[in-house]
Amino acid sequence: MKKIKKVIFVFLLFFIAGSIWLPCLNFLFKVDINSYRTKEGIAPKTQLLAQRQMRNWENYSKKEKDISKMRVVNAEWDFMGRTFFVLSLANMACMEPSKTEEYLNTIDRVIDDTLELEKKKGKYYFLMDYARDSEFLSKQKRSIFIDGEIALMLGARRLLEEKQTYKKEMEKRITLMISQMKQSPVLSAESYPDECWLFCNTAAIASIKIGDILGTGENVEFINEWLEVLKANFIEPKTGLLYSSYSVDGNIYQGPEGSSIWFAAHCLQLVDEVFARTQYRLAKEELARHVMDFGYAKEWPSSYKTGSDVDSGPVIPFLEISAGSSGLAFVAAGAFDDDIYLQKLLTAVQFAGFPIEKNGELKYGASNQVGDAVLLYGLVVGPLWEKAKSLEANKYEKVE
Amino acid sequence: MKRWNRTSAFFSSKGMLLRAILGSIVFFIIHFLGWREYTTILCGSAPTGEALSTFGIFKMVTYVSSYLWFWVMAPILILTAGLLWISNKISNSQS
Repeated sequence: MKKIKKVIFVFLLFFIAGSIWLPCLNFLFKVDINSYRTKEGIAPKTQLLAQRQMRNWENYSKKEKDISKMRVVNAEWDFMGRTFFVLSLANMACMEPSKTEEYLNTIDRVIDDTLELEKKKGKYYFLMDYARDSEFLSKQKRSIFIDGEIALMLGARRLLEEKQTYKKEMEKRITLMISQMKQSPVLSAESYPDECWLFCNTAAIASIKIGDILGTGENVEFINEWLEVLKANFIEPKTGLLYSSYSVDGNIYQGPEGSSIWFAAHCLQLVDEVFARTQYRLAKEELARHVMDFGYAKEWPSSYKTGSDVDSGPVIPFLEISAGSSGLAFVAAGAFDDDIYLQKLLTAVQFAGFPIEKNGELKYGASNQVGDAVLLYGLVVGPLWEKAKSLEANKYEKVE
Repeated sequence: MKRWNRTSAFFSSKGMLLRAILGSIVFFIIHFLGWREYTTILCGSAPTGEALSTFGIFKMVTYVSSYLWFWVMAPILILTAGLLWISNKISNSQS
């Protein structure tokens, strides 16, 4: 009896000790957001994060090792890692105009490598294997996942400095994408056979918008029509969030999910800032959570459960922490200047992301190249879209 | 041996302190062995670019467990040991 009493007493003390320690843990890992994101330029830690990826692209074997780690699991990650890295560099070039040439060299290296791989190995190289299970329904038999993100990379590059070969390539892709989207009654193109993803279609629309800003603006009407169709057909009534995937005919496959909505909201900023901000606010209400200031994001809203897929990444039960959604929440928090949420996410990553800093480089142990590129993008996002918007504003001023 | 059993009894201050320290030593050893790299398995990637090996998964699980032990469990055990020591002191002085 005495022993049992002692055990209960020790457990009580253990509980008290835990109540004292656990809230302190947050203070030990809390980061100074200015080390990661500043208005004045690229923050020191972000510089280290970028440095690693830039050095890897200078060193073929290091780059191949980094990429093969991901391709073992998902070929899409290889491709998306490239997109987020290029977008990051384009934003960094806007922040540091004196280093534009250096950034442009790396951007061009990534784009050229991607275009060459696509040409050599075909459209399936950056897609998951199930893309081969059936035929694409569109006449072009292309994936908007590939075309949209390549066009986005080309557009980001061209916003910094025009390059004729990229201009042609981008215009070709935009024509193909619009033609493909117009074949669908809901103006959406397939990422995989008869699978239209919000993520990919919003990326495509952002690239079309950039194409318009850099060109003659001939697709304004199409973009407006696309937005109307999106708002009319793809808003989930309970949450007000956009659905994640649907068929070419508009039949819903998957409800709102974090791994789609955060990035989609960011892409929508270019075409409808108010709608984009509303989607971000709703996504935050439904998906953003924190425990003792360790921020994270759920993959699915509480009111709309849907099936898991590879994009969701591992989901930790009970708290429903999703790696995929939390990573992309960085992008949205950065894009919508939500420093409070960004700091909470950074605090969580500092604790559970296992940062590894050596030789003037930073990477996250629990992440991979695409994860690090997404984090990097979340920390530098903003100036490129601002530049696009100011170019657009100047264009209309001239017209008026 | 008897002394070991006595001091390492889990519900004693010394036992808890000992476990906190031993777990932390394990963490430091595997941290300096570079097993942190294996945490990339958490996102499904293989640290070497080849298929995931059982030993790789073992390294990841060991690293993450010892990391959590060091940052979460060990401090709680040390605090519990301290609180237990204080309460023992108080009850001894009263008796």
